[in-house]
Amino acid sequence: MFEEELPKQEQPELQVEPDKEEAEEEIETKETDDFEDLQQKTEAFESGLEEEKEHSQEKIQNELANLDKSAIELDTSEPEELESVKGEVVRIEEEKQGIVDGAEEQIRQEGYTREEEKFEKIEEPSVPSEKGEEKIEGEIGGGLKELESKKEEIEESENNKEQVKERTDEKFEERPMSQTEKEKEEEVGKETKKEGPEPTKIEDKEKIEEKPKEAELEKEEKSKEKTKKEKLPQFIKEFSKKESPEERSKLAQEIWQKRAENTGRKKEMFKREKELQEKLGEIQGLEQTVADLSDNGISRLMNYFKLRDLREQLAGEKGVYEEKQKEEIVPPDMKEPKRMLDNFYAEQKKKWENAPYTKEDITKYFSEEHLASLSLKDYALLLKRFPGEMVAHVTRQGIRDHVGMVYHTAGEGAYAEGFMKIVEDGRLRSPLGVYLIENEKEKAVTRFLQLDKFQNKEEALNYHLATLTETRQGEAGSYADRMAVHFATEEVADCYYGSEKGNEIFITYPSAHIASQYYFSGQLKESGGGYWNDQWVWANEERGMDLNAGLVFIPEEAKVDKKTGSRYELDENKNPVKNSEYQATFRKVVDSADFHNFTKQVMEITGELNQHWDEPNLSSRNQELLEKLEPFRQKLEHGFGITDRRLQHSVLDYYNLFSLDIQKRNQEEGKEDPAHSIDSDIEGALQKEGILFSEAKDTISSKEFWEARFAENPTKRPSKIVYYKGLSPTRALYEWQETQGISRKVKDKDIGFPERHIERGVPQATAGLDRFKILAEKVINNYFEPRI
Amino acid sequence: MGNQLSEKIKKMEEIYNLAVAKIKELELQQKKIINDFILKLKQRKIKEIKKDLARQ
Repeated sequence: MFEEELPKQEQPELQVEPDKEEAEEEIETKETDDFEDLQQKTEAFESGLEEEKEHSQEKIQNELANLDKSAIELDTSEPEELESVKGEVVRIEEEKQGIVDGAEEQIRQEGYTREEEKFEKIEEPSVPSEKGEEKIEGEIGGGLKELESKKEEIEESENNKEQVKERTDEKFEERPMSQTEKEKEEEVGKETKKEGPEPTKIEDKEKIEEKPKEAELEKEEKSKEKTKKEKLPQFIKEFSKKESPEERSKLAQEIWQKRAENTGRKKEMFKREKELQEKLGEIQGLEQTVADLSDNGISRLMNYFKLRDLREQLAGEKGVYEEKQKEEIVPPDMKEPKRMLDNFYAEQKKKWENAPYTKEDITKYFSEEHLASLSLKDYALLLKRFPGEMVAHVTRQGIRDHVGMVYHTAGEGAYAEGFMKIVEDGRLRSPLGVYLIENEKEKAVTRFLQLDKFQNKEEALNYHLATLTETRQGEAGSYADRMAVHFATEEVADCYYGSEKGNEIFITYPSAHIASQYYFSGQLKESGGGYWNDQWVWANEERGMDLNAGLVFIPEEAKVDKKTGSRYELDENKNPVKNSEYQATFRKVVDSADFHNFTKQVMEITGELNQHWDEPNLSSRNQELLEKLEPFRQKLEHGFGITDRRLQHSVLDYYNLFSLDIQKRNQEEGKEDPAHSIDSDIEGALQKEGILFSEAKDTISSKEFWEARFAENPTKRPSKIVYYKGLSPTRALYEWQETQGISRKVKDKDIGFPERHIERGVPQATAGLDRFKILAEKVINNYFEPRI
Repeated sequence: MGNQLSEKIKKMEEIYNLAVAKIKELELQQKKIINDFILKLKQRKIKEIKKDLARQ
């Protein structure tokens, strides 16, 4: 195995020991999710039981109604007998209630363990557990650590606000209670409960009957919202701990106070509700007694004094009841602690953006693991504090419909699946690295060396020794070149390396990541230099770079074939089909009698035009020029039937007309140009416009295509995708940086890591060369002189 | 955690199913009591009618 044969190169420090707290938090989050799940299930079972019971009760009520009806119709029952039957039915109904209560209790014991703990905490904030207190004091000296771990709880409380409100309002008894509360409830409410349903409770019951479905729907909605909610990135938490410890402590205190205040109010509300219920019970009792004693005139007379006292008492009780009802208790503001936290962290984010940084900060935050762990939003937030420069690697996905340089034309007009392979692999590797990770390494190297193109062993050895392994490392085709991942800084080199115009997929990484984690040659600071904006990055030999540590830019609106994702119509061998219709139409224009005159007039206009006519912000000069150009565009449309603006643009292009005018004159004068002809120039013009090949017919948007593909295999989906609009990948990159407010720049081309900026021939760049040379020679020997 | 969770859910499901079964059983009992009584009333009625008819 290649890896085993090669001694290990000194690896840059990539591993960051996972923070213990982070791990704990991860576990905690997982547990929270699990418990939320459990809680949801628990509530579902509980409400299911209630429903079953109510459904059954309803049926029995109907049966009882039938019984009454039959008893009246048949008129053969004794009242006592009827009451006795009804009594028996009611007794069984109570038994049913007992079963439901018992089952609910058991279910709660299974499922609500954590919920109860949570309740204990909410109910008694002034007496936090010793363990919690120590933790708070020890770790952040004020309580914010505990607070952070409870942030989710608070959020959850917010999500369950309705439930909490119900618990504190009329429907207090609906929530699972702590043991202490249960005991209290049993003591205080024993009598009330025995007395049977009270008017308020009947009202409540109706509400309760309506509530479950609403509550369930609401809960579902909130749960969905919550999953959408992104967590606060760890680096902001750490930053606030380091940079704002006092504010954190102060906030912790304030939130604790707020929570205590909320709890006090909740208790107060509960107490008042209980008192009201008791008072109401007393009033009803008195009213009943008064009614009984006032049944008839004799009784009224006999109980005159008693009735007078009772009525006085009743009036007093009613007064107390009304007074109590008027008492105002401000309901607890459950959202306040969350608002306080949100405000605090919003401030911290601002502070983060403007905070200075050290080299160590870059190394820590721009490690592969850390970048891969971030969401797109947090990734952008991270970049706001650090150098915002990025490098881009454009993939070869689809048909290579253009080339930017005569020496770099490999794969022109051919189909490639570069991006699909990167997604499948999950890593961006060097051209040689892609082969070296294959299981059958020797076969892979045979393909890499293209041995089938050599006549014999000597020829292959000479060629490869000369170019790949022996030549001055750093030149194109050398080992150092093929072992490097190539990037353009601050722009996308799609014109040299891309595939389909208007359908380019590229991957970007922060320059800070490259500089702090890998060895590189070139510069990581600025765009420009055309073909020479080619930065070589040695990503630990074949190990490559995690796709999730970067951003994947995919066109959003390109019209691509449903099956292939290509803009073009492909034949059975995945080759594009040339657009002969466009070629012929273009040719008609060139062959027209007035072509030279047409060319002269158009070139006078387009020679001055310095913006593409479809650009959104055209200068007034360019607008004037386009107005002048309009009659010629019309001529193409009406005289030659050219309605596609891209073809119109291609025909009216200054350079295309310039060369075609020469070709036509050559033809007229009988001159021959071995390198060019009218047809070859037309092909070139169409290729430049990205319309040389016939476009796919059964199309969907590129976003739809890739989303469908990722949906088929979600584990392979890159974690950070930016869908971009427009035809320019470089502009898409700039726009993303601008939209995200990533504007910090550096002065050094090595982003402050000169020790990682190396020459192309140094050992760090050629690591593994000796082992590869041995392997390549072995493969060449075996290929041409196979052992029998 | 996952196993523990599914065990808990399984147990809750068992409790739920058992409780629902008991509710149904008691519901049947209630229906039987009511229906038996209605039947009894009907039989009485029939007897009464028969008696009346016999008297006539």
